Amino acid sequence: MLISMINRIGSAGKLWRRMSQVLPVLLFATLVSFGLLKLIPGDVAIALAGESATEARISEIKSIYGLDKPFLTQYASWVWGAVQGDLSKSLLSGELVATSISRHLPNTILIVVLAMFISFAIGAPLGVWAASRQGRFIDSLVMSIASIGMAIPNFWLAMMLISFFALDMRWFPVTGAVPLTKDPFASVHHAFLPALALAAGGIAEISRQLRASLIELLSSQQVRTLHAKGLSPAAILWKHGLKNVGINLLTVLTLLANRMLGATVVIEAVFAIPGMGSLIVGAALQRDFPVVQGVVLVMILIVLVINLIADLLYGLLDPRAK
Amino acid sequence: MSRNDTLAHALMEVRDLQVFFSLGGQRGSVKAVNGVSFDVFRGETLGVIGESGSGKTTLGRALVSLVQPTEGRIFQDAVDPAKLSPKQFRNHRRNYQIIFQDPNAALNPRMRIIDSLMEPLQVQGQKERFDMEQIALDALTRVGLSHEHAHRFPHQFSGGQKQRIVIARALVLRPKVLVCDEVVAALDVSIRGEILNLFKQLQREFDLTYVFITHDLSVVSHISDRIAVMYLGCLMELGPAETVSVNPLHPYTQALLSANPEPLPTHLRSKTRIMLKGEIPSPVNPPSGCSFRTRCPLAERQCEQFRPQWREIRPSHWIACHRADTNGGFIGESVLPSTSLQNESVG
Amino acid sequence: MNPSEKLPLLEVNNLSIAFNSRSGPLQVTRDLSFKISAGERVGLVGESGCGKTVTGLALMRLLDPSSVTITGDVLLQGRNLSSLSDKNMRSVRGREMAMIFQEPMSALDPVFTVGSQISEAFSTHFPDRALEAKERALDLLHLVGIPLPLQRYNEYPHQLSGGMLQRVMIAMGLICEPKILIADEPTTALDVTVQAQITSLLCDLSERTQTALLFITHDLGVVAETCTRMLVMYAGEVVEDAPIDDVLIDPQHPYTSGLLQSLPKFAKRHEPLVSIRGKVPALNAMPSGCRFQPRCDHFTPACDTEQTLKPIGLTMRQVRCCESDRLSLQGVSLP
Repeated sequence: MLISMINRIGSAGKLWRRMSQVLPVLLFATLVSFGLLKLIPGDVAIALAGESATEARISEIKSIYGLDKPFLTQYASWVWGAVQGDLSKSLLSGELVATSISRHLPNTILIVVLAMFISFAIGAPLGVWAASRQGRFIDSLVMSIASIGMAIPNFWLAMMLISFFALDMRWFPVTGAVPLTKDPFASVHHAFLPALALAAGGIAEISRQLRASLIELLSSQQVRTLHAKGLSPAAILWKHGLKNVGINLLTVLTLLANRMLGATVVIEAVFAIPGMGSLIVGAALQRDFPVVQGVVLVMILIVLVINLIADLLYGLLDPRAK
Repeated sequence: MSRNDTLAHALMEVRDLQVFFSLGGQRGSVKAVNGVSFDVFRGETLGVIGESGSGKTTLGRALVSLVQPTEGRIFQDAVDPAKLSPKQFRNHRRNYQIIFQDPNAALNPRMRIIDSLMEPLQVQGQKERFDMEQIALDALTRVGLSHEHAHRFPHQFSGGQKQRIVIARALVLRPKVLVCDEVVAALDVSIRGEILNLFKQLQREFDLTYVFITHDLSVVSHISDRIAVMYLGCLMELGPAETVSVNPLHPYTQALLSANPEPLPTHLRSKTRIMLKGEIPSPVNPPSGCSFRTRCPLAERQCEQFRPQWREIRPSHWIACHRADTNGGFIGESVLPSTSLQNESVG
Repeated sequence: MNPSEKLPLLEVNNLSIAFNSRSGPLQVTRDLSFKISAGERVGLVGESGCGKTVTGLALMRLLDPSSVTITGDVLLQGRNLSSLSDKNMRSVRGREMAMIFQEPMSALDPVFTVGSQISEAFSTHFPDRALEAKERALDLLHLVGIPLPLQRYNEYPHQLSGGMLQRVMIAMGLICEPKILIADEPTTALDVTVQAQITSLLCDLSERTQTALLFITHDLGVVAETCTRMLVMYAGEVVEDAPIDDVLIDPQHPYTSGLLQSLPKFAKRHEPLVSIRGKVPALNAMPSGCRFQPRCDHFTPACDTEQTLKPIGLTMRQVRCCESDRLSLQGVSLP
């Protein structure tokens, strides 16, 4: 009893340590994005002031929004606000950043989750199938498909999918998104093609990685012992094989999730989906600092949370990691 | 063949050496070498024997300055290498070389033999290619290979030949001390003899001093002048090879000897064996007092409380045991308890 | 107890194993023939590359059929294992014939508890008695001398030492009460003091349960202490087959004699060690005739013909050497 309590405190301590590593990453990333934004030419004050603004008007706007203060002061005041939960307002639309994000985020999340699901649902069985038929035709076929999947640029794939399935066959809508809460079916219907375009690379990676891990495992000493015990190939593959490669699989899935969150920018652009990608691109083009910072902050938090969950799952899967 | 040294100092002097590897954070450290003191005399072969966790490999690396002492000192020819400037150190360390177990890992598969042999000379700042080649080729012939082997790659040689090449490479710098860490363990039984013979021969030719680390009792008894026995980072016994390998004074050495399987017919094999209970403890948490006490059949209260003193129980024979006496027995009990081995009927 | 009077438990006839390489088949073993009786402990001795591990794997049919070609028969209690279907062979493996390997840390599955892996060996072969599995596993843990079996049952391989893990492997091998246990270098990776415990354990268990033991190793000392008979392998062939004491005192094959002479134990201190000159021939460069000839000091023109394993007189011994009658070779000799 006491021992299990101590164990739990132990892993809580690990949790605290993990979370405390999050903070420096957040600060650094937001500082860098802020800095980059300031570096690129263009002045949001000019955009705000309008076409025929005077110098005086521009400086006036600058002082209203604090854009004339030194770089670090601007950054620090943003951080101060963020820590209190206030992500400030969009310079251009006046809308609360938090509100914009809460409108855009679900669309992105839906696509990424769907893409991960498709990648796993197709990639995993393909990988297992290829490993069990190693060296034979199926194996080569799967691996070729995987290579193609990795090589295809996803925006091209997206455009092909639209062209064929949306425009020609009319099975799916061309653009736009529908919130999940409003109409689940329509929501998924809209998100399907974008998710599929994102998933192509994922299917390839998962199937390759799973196949490689399984093949390595199947020729290992521990599997030789399992054969020596008289286990059937099925038992070896499904009972022992999958649990052992689970760790590798988790690594691939985590990396995949991270990558997809970044890749949505392009997909959202092609499908005209109002997600985080389009939000940040639009804001960056207009130098709308609060929005950019807000999106960066939220996206990094999401990635860090995903990694944190993955770390905890490792502990469950691999007794050596505890 | 050990000569009584009349020089003021031994070629190597180890004083209270401790080498600890920290595990980071709260997890403590691996106490690989936990306080050893001994000398290495010029021209001798000092065998160091021990099982896993004994610290013998770490000791070997410390002797050639591959790991730094956490505490204590090593004097190489009365010089403390830690006190030298980097340039002096580089010059100094050519005299103390080491050879490892796996010749495959020790040779760069992409370099021709001759280049591998010349590399140490280049590192030491030698510039003249012709001179280096001469030295390298000379070393190659001394280990029993020929000039025509010089331009081949490692994969074209057998395990035994590769080990010879590694030895040659160590010799190009004309070291004073050669530490040999399990150098024949990876070789087939039938060619170990050649390599060990080569070591002996080279010792005479090059006036070398060896520290020969191994886990194999029969090898160490054959080749050494003196034998040091290590257990869990501490020295248990150190004495002349004839005594330590036949009539050791320390209970651990006795158990080690007894555990060694004998390729002898039934009537010549010993009928009893000293069985040690339990397993080797972790070097992260060595037992208090004497590190061997958890498995020693003779352990008592004092063994738990006080670390035995490293004392010279007989001339040139050192031991760390509370209960050993000079006659080869133990205070309170004359011999170690042993269990009888079943006699297999020969069919 | 004359082994020839009993029906052999395991009979190997002309077992030849070849690796299918791109440049043609590489013969690893050739015409291996030997017998093992019930309860007998036999050592299969040889150096690296002689084919002893491959032989062990071939007996259990653990070699990948697409990369090796095997001819010859392996008969377990009269039943020809070579002709069994995969499914039937699986019911033999682990149940009638078991095998333990060299490095227990790599041989066990790191993500399952050791106890569950032992139980699995039982429940795989007796699925209807799966409820007994844990009970039996605990019994076996106790039998192999592991203290606190219940606690150990729930631990993972990385939490146990090498010696403990090898005991676990032995428990796993014996849980279905096989007729024969094949041990492939089980103590090579262990410390000497632990090795002594394990060899003693194997001997003891073999006696008690009357399980035959095929002990594959390169260490003559270990074989001398655990086995009653020794098979010496060289370059893929059995060159000598004899009871332990006989072969140690009076070897009949020059290779055996050379091997014994080369042991440092038998050399005088500070005198050069004896070794067998030359090296083991490569698989694709085997000499015709006697395979040991290039390294033998006693060869004659008769050695150019292929050698066969012949019995020596009326003894149980066999040797593959045409000159053995004439030669008187040296065995172990204490300095």
